[in-house]
Amino acid sequence: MMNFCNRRKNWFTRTTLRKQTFAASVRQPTCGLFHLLIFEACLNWSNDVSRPGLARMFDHGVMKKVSKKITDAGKTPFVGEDPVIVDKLRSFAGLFVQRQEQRHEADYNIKDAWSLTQSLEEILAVNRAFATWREIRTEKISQYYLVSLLIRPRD
Amino acid sequence: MYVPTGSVNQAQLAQSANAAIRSLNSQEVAHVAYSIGDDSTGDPAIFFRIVLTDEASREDRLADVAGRVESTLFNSIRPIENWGLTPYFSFRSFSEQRMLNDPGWS
Repeated sequence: MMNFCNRRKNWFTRTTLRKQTFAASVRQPTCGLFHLLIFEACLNWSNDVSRPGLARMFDHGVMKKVSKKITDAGKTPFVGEDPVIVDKLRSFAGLFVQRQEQRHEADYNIKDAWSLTQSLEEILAVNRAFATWREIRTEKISQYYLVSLLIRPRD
Repeated sequence: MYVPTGSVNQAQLAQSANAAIRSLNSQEVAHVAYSIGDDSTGDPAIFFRIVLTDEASREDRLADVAGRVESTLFNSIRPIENWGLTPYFSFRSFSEQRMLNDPGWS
């Protein structure tokens, strides 16, 4: 009986640790994505001494709300803009929204397990987001997006 | 525009979602489950839980397959424009799901 209990305890510890490790692996890349956007937005602030203060003004909830709005063509039609760039920006914003939700799940949902594939896909998705952003970071609509991340959108 | 999840026509959405799921490559996708609810910010959302075949879940293929599956479901269902739902996608391998036996993914 003791052996069985020990085996169960070991299994539980191993499984729980594995779940926590997989969940933890989701947080870091997503944080990187937040830092990327905040850093890029703050680069536009010419007074570099006050950039750290500006960086602290960003609110994750607002960033998600704005990014959701960008994914909705009805709310942000970007009339007259290059459709290829618009698609890439929407794709980036969609990836960002999803990563933030997954991070929230990883942080607060202790009921559901995370698997290796789930965690790996999160990391790969952040990679895709970084690559997409590199392609569009200097575009006018990307700069508009960066600025809008600071402003709570009206529904 | 806030769309309460209760106002989504579940039957029509199911029809659209099932058609999109059927169009996925069965060599890559073993099963797709989905549910409607609110996301962490309280907005209506559709959560896809996609079980990939073990072959399609390999590290060197995962990004490609996951991207393609997401695009197919997104472009076919158009969850934002047609339903006011933010889509979320999660992926597991067939072996992982068999081991975890999670009813939410079955």
